[in-house]
Amino acid sequence: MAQGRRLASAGSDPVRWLLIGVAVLFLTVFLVLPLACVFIEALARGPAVYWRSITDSDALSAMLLTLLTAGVAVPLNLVFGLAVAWCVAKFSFSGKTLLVTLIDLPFSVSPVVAGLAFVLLFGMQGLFGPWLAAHDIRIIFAVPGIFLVTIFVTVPFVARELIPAMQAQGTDEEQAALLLGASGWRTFWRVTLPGVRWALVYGVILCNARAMGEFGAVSVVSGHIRGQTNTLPLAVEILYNEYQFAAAFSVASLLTLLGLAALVARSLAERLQRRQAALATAATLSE
Amino acid sequence: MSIEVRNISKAFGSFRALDNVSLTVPDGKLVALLGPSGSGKTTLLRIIAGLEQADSVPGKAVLFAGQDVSDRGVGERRVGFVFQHYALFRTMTVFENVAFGLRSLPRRARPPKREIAAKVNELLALVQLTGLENRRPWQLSGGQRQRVALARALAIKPSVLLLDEPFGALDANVRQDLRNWLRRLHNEIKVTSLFVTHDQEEALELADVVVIMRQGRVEQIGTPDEVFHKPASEFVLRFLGKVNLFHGRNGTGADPAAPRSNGLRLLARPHEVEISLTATAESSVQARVARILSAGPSVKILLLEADGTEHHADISHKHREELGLTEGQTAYVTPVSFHTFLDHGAAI
Repeated sequence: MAQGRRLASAGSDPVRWLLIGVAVLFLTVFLVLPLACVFIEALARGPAVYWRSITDSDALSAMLLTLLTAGVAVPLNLVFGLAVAWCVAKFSFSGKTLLVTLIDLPFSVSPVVAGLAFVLLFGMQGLFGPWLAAHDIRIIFAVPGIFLVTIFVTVPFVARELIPAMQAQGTDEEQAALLLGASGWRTFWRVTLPGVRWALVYGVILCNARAMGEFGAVSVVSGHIRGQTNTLPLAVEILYNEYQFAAAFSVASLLTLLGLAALVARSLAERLQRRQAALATAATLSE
Repeated sequence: MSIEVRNISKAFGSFRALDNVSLTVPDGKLVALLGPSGSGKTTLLRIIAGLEQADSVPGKAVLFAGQDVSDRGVGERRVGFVFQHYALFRTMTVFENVAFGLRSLPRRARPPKREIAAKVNELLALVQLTGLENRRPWQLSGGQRQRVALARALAIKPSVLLLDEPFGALDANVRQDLRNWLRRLHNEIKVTSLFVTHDQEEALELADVVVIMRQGRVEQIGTPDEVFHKPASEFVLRFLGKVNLFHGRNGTGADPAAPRSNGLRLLARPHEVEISLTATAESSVQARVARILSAGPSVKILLLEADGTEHHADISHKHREELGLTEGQTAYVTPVSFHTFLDHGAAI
């Protein structure tokens, strides 16, 4: 840190101000202004309209579905992410590179394509369509489809955070636990998991943000049935296309708030971690 | 509890880490596995612990007190293992680290809380860490971590104690202190211990028995005295310290046309050579004094023959004064006592 300060002061003043100016301008134009716009537009027609928009039954059911989707996708990805990161980080096997590449697939494939792929699998004309229809199971244009595509697009988040953390953790501590007679299960809960808990928290927060915010893939499979298969991002689009700007921005502000809450949670987690570290260091120094 | 390994081989791909190793660690002894890196000593330690599986060769076995433990899992061998970098549980306190083994026992075998606490405190006192119960591993010095790792390993009342480069990651001073301390501790608790090291001084000072390994094979097993004074091969001799090489010669060497070497290699340690200003024996070689290091209990002298061959000599300060030796001067090096090997390194 000391070195960073020295480097900064080494630059001449004009250069420093120029760099700060560019950074502030960039942040303002691309991050702060759009964010502010959402809230300004949402409240443009007064708080009463805002309140009516977000307590509208369609908006509420979209909110509920969004939370439900995240509630399904995040735990599943948490379990999958842990399992896959553990395999990749702690064992060597053939096909490992392929597995890691596959985990990244949802990052590289457009969500719309992902949505279409699920339509091709489970839609009426799709691979399993006839069988599903015969058993009266609806996946596409219904809630299960939304769950499926959301899980698909959020697969990488937890695993991607955990793999480097687990690799850095190594296997020595786990071997030490096993040598001391601990079962594999106990070793996992007491040694492996606590060691990567912050990476896990971070991965879950990112995964959750994406699960709530996903638009493209969900849009393809949802069918946009109001009050039934609309999530918050879809509700925003519908309202906007119907020229109900105040309502659109009100609902958008809800989505934004959820995103901001995730960010706050993340920095709280980080601060908590840093405070623990600082306390412990202080304890050492006072000895 | 004695440890015996029989016919242990281990290959990683095309690399033979261990090549048919057999050895016995007698009950209650402190034994060093000594060798350069890549000699297979850590692999052998991990196979004994059950962390690696030996290649299946007929007759291979790992026995604790005569019982074959090859089929027992890592947790069932009751091995105390101290990792090179300690592998302390970083999210747990010192107390929790040491208590982990006892708390991991199946419910019916697990002592009550108060007993665990008493046992942990007793161990922390043994390793002189009382008062640091609530520290986290990263708040400890290297030496303290090492002792926590040891206390943690001892908590399960191990049948044998295995230590991988126990002093490898420590400063020189701490290393010496801990070495003495570990020896005293071993005398006190008498658990059969096997430690890996590449430091010959450490092995010779600390161990009852030294096992010298080279390229996956056991080169020699013996007490520190035996391996130092009766090395089984030139490798062992060279590995245990600096040596000076003299070729056995035909004639006096006065006739440059005569073949100089007779196929014998005479090796003498720095304290086994004599320095003089005139040739004192047939085996004396002429060399230039290249460097004199006199900051120490003895004077270390580096001499270079005309062909660049190095010789190292340890002489007393008094002797050096008598000779009036200075750098750049020409002197004679004569082996006083030596070990003789054939040209391919085998002992005679």
